[in-house]
Amino acid sequence: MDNLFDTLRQDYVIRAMIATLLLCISCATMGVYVVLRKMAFLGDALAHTALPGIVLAYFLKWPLFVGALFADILTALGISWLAKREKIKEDTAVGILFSSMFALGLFFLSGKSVRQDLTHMLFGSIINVTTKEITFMAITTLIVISFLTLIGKELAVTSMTPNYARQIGINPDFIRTLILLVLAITVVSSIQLVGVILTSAMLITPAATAGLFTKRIFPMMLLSTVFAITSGIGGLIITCIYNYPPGVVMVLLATLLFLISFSIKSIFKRS
Amino acid sequence: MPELTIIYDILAYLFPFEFMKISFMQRALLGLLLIAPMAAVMGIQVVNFKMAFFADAIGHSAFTGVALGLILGISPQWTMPAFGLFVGFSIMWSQRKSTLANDTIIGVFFSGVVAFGIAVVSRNSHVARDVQTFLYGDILTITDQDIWFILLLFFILFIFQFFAYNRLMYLGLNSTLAEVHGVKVSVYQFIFAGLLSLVVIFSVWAVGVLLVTALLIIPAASARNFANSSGQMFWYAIIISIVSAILGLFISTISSINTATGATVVLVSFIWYIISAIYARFLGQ
Repeated sequence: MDNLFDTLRQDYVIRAMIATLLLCISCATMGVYVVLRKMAFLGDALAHTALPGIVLAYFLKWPLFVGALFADILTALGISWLAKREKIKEDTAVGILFSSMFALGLFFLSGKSVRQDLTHMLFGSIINVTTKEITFMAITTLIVISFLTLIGKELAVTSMTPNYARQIGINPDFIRTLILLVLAITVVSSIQLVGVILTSAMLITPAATAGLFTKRIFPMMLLSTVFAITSGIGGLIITCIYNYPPGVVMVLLATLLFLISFSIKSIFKRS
Repeated sequence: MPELTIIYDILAYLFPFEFMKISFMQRALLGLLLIAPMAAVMGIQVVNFKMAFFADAIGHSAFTGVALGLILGISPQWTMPAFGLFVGFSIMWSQRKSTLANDTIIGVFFSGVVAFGIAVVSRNSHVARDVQTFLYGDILTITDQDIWFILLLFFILFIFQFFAYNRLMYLGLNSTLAEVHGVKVSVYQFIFAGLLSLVVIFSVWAVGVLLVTALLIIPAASARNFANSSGQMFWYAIIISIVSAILGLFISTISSINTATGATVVLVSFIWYIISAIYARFLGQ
């Protein structure tokens, strides 16, 4: 046990803890809107389309997150545009755009030997987090929180009753685009920490668990953050004892919390 | 196991190129020719039922299927489809039980399953090659045994579609009305989800997990732009998928291009989609 506390006092562990906390707060709160507005697939797609952007940035020698952010914003706008303009459903639009973007990325990538870095982007590296990435994460958290508090009412109204929102002079499409942009920023900064595959998990799973208990937005955000931080910090501590990738353990803990809540809910509903 | 040589001879006769004399190219072409139309046909209903995310989740579970095979010491050939089916049915079941939105449930299952797979794999560094296969697909190493599997699935699927296509379309339009007209909605949904899971798993083999959604959706979405009826949509989707599969495979083998096969197939079908969108805009009704 002493050994564990010694490990936890290490510099890199403390940095990872701070990063995890920031990540959990921004993902869990944004996740509530992702769940309420049924944008889970979209969140996942944003996480994936960041990859071609990263590839492009890698070749152009830009900072990687600029490429990722660029690709994500492009995808976010493209999806809204496709879904509004063509007579296809939104999830089809998401599917088409995100897999084509990905194919494009792989097409340019084949034959080159950067797959190592890509695997790294897929699984993330919260243990090796740099101060720069923490700063980026902190800015993201600040953006998310100010976004959610400043236009909280507009967000709530457009999520629950878009028609009413339009009548009182709020443009739901505009709010939606704003959400997508903030979501894109959140996703891009989380990718650096937990990787493409697990970013959507940190967005969706805690919020979904909270959604089992309440449908009111503010309590849902609080609960979601609590669940996220429990699994985030818990995952990090377990990683220090057993040698598993941290992102993975976090997601497994979050899923476990969901399954437990789901069972409790089912039992209570029956009695 | 019976030989497939006759089919290969026919393929070699139809495409008299130098590279078609190589046996793994013949197998790859046959595999793609079976998988692409299956995916395209299932894709029509995936688009109708809004199941793109469901398909994506099943695709990712293939990865965990491989990992499970490693732990249990069973060939991934068996654990992958079995686990895919398991995840598919679990998602369907939870969606019926819970008040959460469908896509939220899929998202939760999806990431939990993938995290589990990665946790297993991270303990066995020698499976890195399998992970690559899973990400990018590996149609060029498909074996005769795999082809037989796919052939069997192909027949089951088309027999099912032959009987169920119109009913599934009806279901997609209005499930309550379909129920009233004596269509067993839940039975059809479960069979469809099961078949879809299997098709997705085999497609992962062909093009890799990241592009499965494309193989399913893009032919269906392009066909929708060309077609005037649901029957036409069915045939157009098949034609588009087959043409993209053949072109994609051939382009990827040209030595000056030499790209990943799966990605090339998807890009060719995406070009189809652009053409169809232009057609629908300027020439359609």
